[in-house]
Amino acid sequence: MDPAFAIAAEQGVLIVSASGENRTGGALSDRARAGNTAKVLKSLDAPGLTAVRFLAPGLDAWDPLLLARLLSVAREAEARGLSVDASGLPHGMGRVLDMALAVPPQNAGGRAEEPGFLETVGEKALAWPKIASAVLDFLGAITQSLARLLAGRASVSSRDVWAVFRECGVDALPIVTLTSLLLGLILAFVSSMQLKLFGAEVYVASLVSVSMVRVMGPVLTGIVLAGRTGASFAAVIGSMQVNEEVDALQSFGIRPVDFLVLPRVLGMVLMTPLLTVYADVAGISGGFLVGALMLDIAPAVYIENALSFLSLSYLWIGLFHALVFGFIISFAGCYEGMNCERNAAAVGRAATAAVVNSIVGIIVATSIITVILTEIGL
Amino acid sequence: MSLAERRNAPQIAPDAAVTAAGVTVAYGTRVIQRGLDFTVHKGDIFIIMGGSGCGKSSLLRVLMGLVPPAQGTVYYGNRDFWGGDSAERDAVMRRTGVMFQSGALWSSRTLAENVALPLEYYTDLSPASIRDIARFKLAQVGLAGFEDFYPSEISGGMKKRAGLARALALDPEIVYFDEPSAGLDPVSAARLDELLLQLRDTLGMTVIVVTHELASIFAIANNSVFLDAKTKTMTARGDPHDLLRHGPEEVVEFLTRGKGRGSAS
Ligand SMILES: Nc1ncnc2c1ncn2[C@@H]1O[C@H](COP(=O)(O)OP(=O)(O)O)[C@@H](O)[C@H]1O
Ligand SMILES: [Mg+2]
Repeated sequence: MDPAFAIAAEQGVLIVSASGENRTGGALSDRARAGNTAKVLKSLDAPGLTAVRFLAPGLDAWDPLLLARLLSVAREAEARGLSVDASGLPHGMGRVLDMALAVPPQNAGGRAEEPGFLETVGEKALAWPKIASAVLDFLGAITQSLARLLAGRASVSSRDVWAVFRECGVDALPIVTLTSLLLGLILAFVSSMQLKLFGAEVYVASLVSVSMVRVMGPVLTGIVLAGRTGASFAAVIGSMQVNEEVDALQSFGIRPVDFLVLPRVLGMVLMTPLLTVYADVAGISGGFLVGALMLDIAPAVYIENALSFLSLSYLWIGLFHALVFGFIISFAGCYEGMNCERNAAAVGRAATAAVVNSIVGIIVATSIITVILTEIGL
Repeated sequence: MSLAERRNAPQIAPDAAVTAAGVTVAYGTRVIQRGLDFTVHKGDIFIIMGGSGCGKSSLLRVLMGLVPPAQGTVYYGNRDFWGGDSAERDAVMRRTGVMFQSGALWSSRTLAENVALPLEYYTDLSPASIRDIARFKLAQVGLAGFEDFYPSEISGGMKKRAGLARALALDPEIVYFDEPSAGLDPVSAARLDELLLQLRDTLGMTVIVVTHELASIFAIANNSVFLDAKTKTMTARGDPHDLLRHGPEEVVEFLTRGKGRGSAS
């Protein structure tokens, strides 16, 4: 094996000469070089050494890998109090090495090692109380902000509330129309298959209208808004964190919660119920299309059946769902945005987390509300 | 802050605008700078110097109220800023202006709307008056005609100048600048220096600047502090003209040839 470094000791000076085709892409494998470097490091401990000199007589090109190896040798040598002479290296490599040596490695804290599987699981579990308290803190901050607004000690810019109205109102109309209409169609189709067995197809109408108004309309609206608006809240506020725009607000003594979060929460809590009413109408229309065109139910009969089973309390229940969902979505979006780390990848993660948490929150809230309503007999 | 420390509160000079008292800047357990004691007097143009990465921006964030210090506190006048409650801090911060290193303009608003926002939030001026003020502040930094541009539509140097216009929106008593002239052409940089002097002389503003520009340090500064990355503390303070003659070696080197280059970072 062609040695990468020839080592010779002369009057207390260790001469390390890189010989052979010792350059990137050369004949010597990385492993051979590494083994050889280890040998050089070992010979630094020889007694009576005072200095190390680097030579590379046969070197005909710039070699970053060689430099990297020599740097580690030089650092070790300096740690042992030996002087390092790199002036024998060609192509100005000696000067580059000197520059790298000029600043000793700083203890900048470094990175913790990648944790193993069990540690990751443990850390996640231990993080729960912290997350829970951060969420509660944020809830408290929003409540205080609302209190300041009601006491007239904070102002919410109406322009921002309008922007939220538009974003989760008008702008969301097309996609809410499409999805609710189709959901109405699907409900009508699936239920008609079963009801046909009893010759009770006309009840498709009430089944669609009741399920839309009571729960499906709000849930669907919530999911659409979580994907559209919740994600955009997180991304917008998150990128404001990255650009120091949130700091800029704070530097004027303007509280980011008052200015960025409260308008979004208020706008969303007011707008989601309205959008839900619209989704209900679209869904019922979808069922109507199936009933009138494919099940041959007379339009008047369909409408009569659809409305006769709807009670006002169903509408209130649906709107209550929507209000809760609006809060969950805006809360999750703003929370993720405000807690976004300061880099671009974190903005993406914040948006994803906002959507996932909103949808989980919507489903959990629906279950809880349904159980409670069933218990009290509504 | 413990009671014992409170009793040891420093002697605050009567004309002090901002006083750092034993300030330690840290991220978690990692200390960036410790034991910082200095006073910025009213009407000073005060420079924070030091190699890149030594913690100048981090110190600025503590002084301007964005991040609490790990130890010690900051006084505005003779009031303990970090010892007070958050409403008091908001009130102080309303009277300070900040120009961030990257501008930090609100990206969903035009330049005029950026300058107008603090005015809308804090004053009951009519929209037309606010618009006029915004137009004037932008003209002051050489951005007349760009009122309706969005931050994404202008260059980095222009963003900084717009950030300055916004920092001056409420005519603050104290303004903070993080590397104001980095990224500006020499003419704009010289104009900026002139503007700082004017603001100090006409409005009596106190100006606190992080900068590497030797030309502007010697043109405008009358007080400074030098942060050292290796020892993680300040190694000199005072008028940079004096430091040039009597300061410690690394400060003299910084002020004569370093321009912040070649320092450990
Ligand atoms: N958000 C942060 N979290 C952790 N460390 C940080 C953060 N911001 C800056 N630092 C560290 O603090 C040190 C000082 O940074 P900074 O104040 O930006 O320096 P300067 O403005 O003097 O160039 C650097 O070592 C940097 O790595
Ligand atoms: Mg900086």
